[in-house]
Parts: sequence; C-alpha cells; structure tokens
Amino acid sequence: MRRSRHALGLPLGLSLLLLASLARAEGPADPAPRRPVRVEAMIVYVSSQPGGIDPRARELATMLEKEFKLQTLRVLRMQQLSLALRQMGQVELPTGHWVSVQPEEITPQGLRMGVEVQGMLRTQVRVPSGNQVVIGAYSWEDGRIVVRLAPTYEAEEGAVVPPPPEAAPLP
Amino acid sequence: MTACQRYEDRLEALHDGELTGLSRWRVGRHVASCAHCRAELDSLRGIGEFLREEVARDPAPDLWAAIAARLPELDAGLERRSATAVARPAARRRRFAPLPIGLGGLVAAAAVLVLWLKTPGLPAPDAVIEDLDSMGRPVAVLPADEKSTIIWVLDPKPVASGEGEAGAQI
Ligand SMILES: [Zn+2]
Repeated sequence: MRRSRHALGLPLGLSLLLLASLARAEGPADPAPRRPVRVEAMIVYVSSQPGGIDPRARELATMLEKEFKLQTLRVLRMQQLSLALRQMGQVELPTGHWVSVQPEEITPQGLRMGVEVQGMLRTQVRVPSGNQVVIGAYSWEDGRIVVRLAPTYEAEEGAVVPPPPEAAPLP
Repeated sequence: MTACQRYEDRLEALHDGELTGLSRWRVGRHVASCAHCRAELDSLRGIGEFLREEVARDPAPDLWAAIAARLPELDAGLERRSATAVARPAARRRRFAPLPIGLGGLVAAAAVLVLWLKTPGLPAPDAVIEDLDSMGRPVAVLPADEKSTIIWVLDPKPVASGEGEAGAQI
C-alpha cells in the first residue's frame, strides 16, 4: 500500500502549521451584518483496505460503515471556518483541489449554504445546526477523500445551538 | 426572504461579470429557473449566452425519471430506490450488504446519474440538497441518519496514486 508520501506522516507541529496555511477565508461579498456561522470542515481518507479507524472520527466511521465497506479512516485535516453569511471559506484537499463553503442564509429548515468541491461538485444544501453533509470526493491513495461539513450557528432569538458532534479536536 | 429577494441584489453583479465560481453558479441556477429574475436580468441586458449555457446545464426535474429508468443498470450492491419516495420498512437497510467499494456498476453505467436514495424516518435527501451539479459524474445522495446526508460522487480515476488499480475506489 502506498502511504505516508503525503502530509500524513509529518510531525504534528508541522501538520498544524500546514493546516493553518491550507485554510483561508475570502472577504464577504457584501457586509451582511449577521452572526458568524461556524462550519467544521473535516477532511478524511477512507479505504476498504485494513488500516484502522482514527478515534477522532469514530462517529463518522460508524456512519459510513452503514453504507460502505470501510476498514480505514484517517483524519487528514480539521478546520473550523468562521464565516459571515455570503463569505466564502476554503479548505484544500490533499489532491490539491479546493473545497469552498459559502453560507447563504439561515432558514427555519437550516443553514442554506453553497458547497463546491473543485472540479467535481457544486451543490446548495440546507443543513440544520449540528447536522452534517458528508461528501465522497476524489480518489486518493487506495481509497477516497471524504469531506465532512458540519455547520453550527446561533438560531434566531439568541438560542444556543448544540456543539459539533465530533468532540475531539486536534491536540 | 424569498428566493428572488436572496438573489435580487446579485443580478447586477452577475450581469457585470463580478461573480465567479460558486457564487456565479448559484445565482445563475436561480436565474435559469426563475422567470422573474430572468426578466430582471434581461432588463439589465439581453440574457445572452450566459443564460443559454446555464439552462442547457440545468438538470430539470424530468431528469429523475430518466435516472429511475436506468436504475436496473446499476450495481447490484446498490439499493435500488427511485427518485420518488418509496415506502419501505424503516429497518430495510439491514437487508442489504454494505455498498461495494467503488460502486463499480455505477461507473460502468457511464452516464450522468444522480441517485436520490430515500429512507423512511430519515430526512429526504432533497430536503437537504436543494441543488446539485456533479459535473457529469454519477452521484448518489442518501440520508445516513437523522443528522447526516451523504453525497457520494463517483471518481473512477485516482488522482494522486496514478496506477488506477482495480478496487482502489471506495
Ligand atoms: Zn427569482
């Protein structure tokens, strides 16, 4: 199996630096005076080859195992994007493609946001705070890159929203 | 806020060519499906090539019927659920083996396919996914649990490893 040619084998400190440089947020398209939306972007590698499940994403693995034969799940990146409405945030995949996220509007049914996986997918989703959209993206190594996007935001009238379901941040 | 109100103030930016990427796509898709905003944009200038292009790419609802018609060609391991809601027991997932890595049959179908897989008791995927363009790739959209929706885009070509050996996809 081909492994560790990529950022995965880097020391933690270097990985964190890499993470910081790989996420970026562009300026808002307009100065919409809204509370920021937090979108947790988690980039993982999944494969049907044996390799173990990263404890930081056990919930995600459990969910994916219902649909796919899954023996490996490694967290490659975790990034909290704090975005105003219409502001675009981006995270880079290990393939070099960018994932763009643009919250649009908070509706009673959830946060309407645009998501683009460069060269592969553009979608508009409506996700309640604390819920998630999981995108099976590019093939990579022996498996696939999976992008998990979980927005949390303050509902109207200052209601407190639940914390993100994945509770284990990078140390 | 109506959809039109959401996009109204960006029609001019669209007209002026100031929108790119995701923003351009989102506004363009709305304009393609909204006579009101189309008229607004038309009043800014002729609709022109831009709109014709967007309309041509717009996966109209009729597409779902075409997708459903192709379902038998799909990989046997993939649950066959049509684009419209299908009543099934809530526990029906247990009757199916996990999807094969790679969904090879989907790749073999070699068509632009969007599978909307519904599960009773879980949010309908089209309640979560308002619009989707997989740029010609087959894609399956399915609810995984009450809080999770999976968008699984087929990618037959490994990007980084290059060898493209069989079974490499998940
Ligand atoms: Zn409109």
